[in-house]
Amino acid sequence: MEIKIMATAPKDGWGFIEKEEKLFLLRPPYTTSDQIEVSIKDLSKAIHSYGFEECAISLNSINETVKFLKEAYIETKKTQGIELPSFEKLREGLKYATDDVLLEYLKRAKRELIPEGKLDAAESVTIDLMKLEQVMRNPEMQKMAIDILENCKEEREKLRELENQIRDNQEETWKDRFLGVESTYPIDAIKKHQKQIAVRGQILPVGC
Amino acid sequence: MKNIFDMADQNSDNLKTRHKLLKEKHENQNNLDIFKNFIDFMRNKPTISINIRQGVLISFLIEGVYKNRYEVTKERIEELKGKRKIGISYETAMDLQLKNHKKERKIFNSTFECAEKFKYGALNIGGFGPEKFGEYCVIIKRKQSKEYSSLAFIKEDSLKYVEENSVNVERLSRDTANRECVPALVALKHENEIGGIPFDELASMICSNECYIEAITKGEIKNIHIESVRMRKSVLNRFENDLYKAIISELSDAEERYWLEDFINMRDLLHNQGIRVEVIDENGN
Repeated sequence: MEIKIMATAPKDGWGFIEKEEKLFLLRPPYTTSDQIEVSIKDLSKAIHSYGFEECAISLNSINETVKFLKEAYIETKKTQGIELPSFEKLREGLKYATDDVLLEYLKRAKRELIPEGKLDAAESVTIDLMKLEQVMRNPEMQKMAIDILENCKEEREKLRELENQIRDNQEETWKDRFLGVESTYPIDAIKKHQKQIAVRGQILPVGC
Repeated sequence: MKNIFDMADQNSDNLKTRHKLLKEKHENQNNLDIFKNFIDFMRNKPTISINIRQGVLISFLIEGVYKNRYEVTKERIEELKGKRKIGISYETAMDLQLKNHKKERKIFNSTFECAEKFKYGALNIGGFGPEKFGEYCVIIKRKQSKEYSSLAFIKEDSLKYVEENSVNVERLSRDTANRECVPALVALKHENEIGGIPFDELASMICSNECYIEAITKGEIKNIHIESVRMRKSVLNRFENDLYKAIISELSDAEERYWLEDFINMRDLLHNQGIRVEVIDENGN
């Protein structure tokens, strides 16, 4: 499906497009509801009064069009010498999050991040939020934050136990498969040798 | 050259006469109370709003003055001339920018005095305004809107009056109002809906993507004139989702990261300038 970009406002990633002989406004975040049917007069008005720049670029799909508009927006930032903001800088936005939103962030950490094993992320959210006065003032959020950190600690304990168990099992396997090897070589030397074989991909070094 | 503000003043008698006839019609239909309430509401409630995109709003707040596209282009040319990076005139630059649409622009601008100074907004009694031009609806203080010396309201978008090679001045002059006659203009535009639409739905009837009464001023619109900035809940939802992803270091899309930074900058500017933010959900709450 051919799509023609008729005008853009690259500073904001907005574009007027022509698709199947109809005109649409397409704007971030580019979901279906961000595509609004407009008239030719709207296009003129946007160019005449709202800073849109006329263009005539043909693309093959809506995905290509969105990619073009996103790149145009990023390019204007680069042209202005604005670097990609760091996550640390973006976290400053927490000051504009309401209590409900902060509570939801904690709930998501508990509900999504911990079960997915993203313990670092869960702890990061919680610690960032615990620095906020509005979280520390709120008993519900405070309790949930502590719960999350304890849950993360418990999950880490469980992981450590699991690792130990796997290591023990591996040692058991060695002992079972190579009877007597343990009496000749220490277990750490055997593990080291096993690791070298894994790295080399062969039993002996090349050239031997 | 015509003066659109004089044109609005000169149309007052016509609007008052038509308003009187409309009032009589409602009186004959036993709807006078509804009609009077509507007119009172339109006298007391409206202000001016301008729909602005995020990047433009940030520039407005930083520079302290809202600039139309001609002023922005002029300034940009001066800036580039200073750096000796451009050797074209303002007119050529505008023609290049407006390309196929320059004819309409030229027709409109050559019809009205000071047209290149015009700032366009809309009459607003609530709601988001014509969001197709900007997701943020900047609401001008009602008191301030009364103080703009040059202010005209047009029943529809002014470009709709540009025909083949000229502006239909006759039609435009009948559809233009000064501040005093705005209630009459609104009543005449929506005469068939008065009484049929609940008051809480009037806002979207009067100012939305589909329909608006255009406001034009050549006066300066400053950041200190802003009462509030209205945004949809969906814009705030985007901020909240992106912020969460940033906190867990999973906001990988560069466009989203720049947008989030812009949003935070915009909120900082609004906060520092004491401008209220109004967030409204899809149900108007």
